[in-house]
Amino acid sequence: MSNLYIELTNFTEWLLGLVAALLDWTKLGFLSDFGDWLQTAPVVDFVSTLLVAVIFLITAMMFGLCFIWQERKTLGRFMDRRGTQVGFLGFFQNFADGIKVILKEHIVPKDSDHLLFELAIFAYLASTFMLFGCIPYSDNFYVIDVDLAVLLGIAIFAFGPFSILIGGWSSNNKFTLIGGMRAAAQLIALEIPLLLCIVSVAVLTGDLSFVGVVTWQEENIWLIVPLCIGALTFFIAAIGESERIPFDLPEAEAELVEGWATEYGDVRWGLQMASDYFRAYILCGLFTMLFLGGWAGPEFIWAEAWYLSKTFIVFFFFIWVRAATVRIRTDQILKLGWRRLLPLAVVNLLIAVALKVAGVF
Amino acid sequence: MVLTGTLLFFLIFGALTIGCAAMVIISKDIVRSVVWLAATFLGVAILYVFLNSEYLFLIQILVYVGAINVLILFGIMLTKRRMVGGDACEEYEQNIIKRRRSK
Repeated sequence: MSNLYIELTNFTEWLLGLVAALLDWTKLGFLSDFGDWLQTAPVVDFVSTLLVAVIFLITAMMFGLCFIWQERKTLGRFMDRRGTQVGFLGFFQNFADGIKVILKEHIVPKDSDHLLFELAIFAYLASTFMLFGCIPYSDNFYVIDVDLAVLLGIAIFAFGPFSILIGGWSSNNKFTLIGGMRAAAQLIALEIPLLLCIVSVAVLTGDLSFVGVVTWQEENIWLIVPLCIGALTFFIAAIGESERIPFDLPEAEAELVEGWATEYGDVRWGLQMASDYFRAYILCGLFTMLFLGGWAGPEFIWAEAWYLSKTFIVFFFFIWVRAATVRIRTDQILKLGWRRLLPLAVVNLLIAVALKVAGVF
Repeated sequence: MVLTGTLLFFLIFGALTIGCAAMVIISKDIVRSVVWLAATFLGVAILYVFLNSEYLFLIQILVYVGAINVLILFGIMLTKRRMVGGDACEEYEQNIIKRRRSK
């Protein structure tokens, strides 16, 4: 059990005890009974889990926003300019953007499939926010630590292409349809090498929970050393999965206006745009967990700080790739996914199996 | 038979799954059918949780919702639009054709 849960369970017990005392003070029989019911174990568990989820959601979204800020500033430096200047070091640009998109009107296209139009963006955003819960920050700060945590994350990722395709179709616009098709084809093509890299990690560590994988790396070696091919493949596939610039076909501005999200306005579009960064954050977190030893590091700063600094460094490389490359074509992306990355991932899996069989680790 | 919490949830999710499966056939719009099919697969995945097989639950979501549904959607969207009945886009086009003919 993580410290976060223990602290918050104590806090919830205190809070519900306070509410129950207040209800008792009214001297009404049924309210006192309700107060007693509030203090039972299932209710306390439920409320503390809810608190953990809210805290985790807010922290993860804040780090996602930091990623946007980091991208703006670093990209500015790559292009020999200063980047955003709004507020302290440009921190307030995100908040200005957020207020702007919240104040916009919600517009549904006349000939669109209204129900699916609303449902698709909801499914996309919900799957993004669910992913936050899968990534632990340290062995004391996490939401869930199940045996199949890595697989759970990948399974939630699988909702992405489906909701994108439905969203692109229901907008009833050829640009969104083409964008949706491209997004789905690309995500499917790059998911296979991604999964094979995760399989190689699972073969070596013999574990699919993040805590297990990181503990193995603490005891032995960071997996980027034996599985450098896999790390490279995972890195390229992760850039493609988060639809960032060399692979940003789904929202190629010059061809497709804004890709599958063209018809979305207001806060839905704002959250969709932000969720690109949230997904990039999650993939950077996955890379850190699987190949860079997660929160392992010398103990002069917190474990969470180690994890986050490694994540930010991985994201710096994402930005570097974005600044250095141009967009690739649709046929090239499939060729890259199936003919280059897939064999590399298989070779990496072979290396992992060979190391395991030879008993090196 | 005692109605425990687990059994109650099992019945709810089972009924939802059957309802979604029926909607796949009833629905007139073929893309909506695929969405209902996704809901059916999710329902089946949740039923696996009641059988204490979390691995199968995750693989069901990964393979069926993530891959097979997308494959079916691709199949629908890459075939001729005239063949399927009654999606919003097609009705709109047919209205235009009718208007042109009436002129």
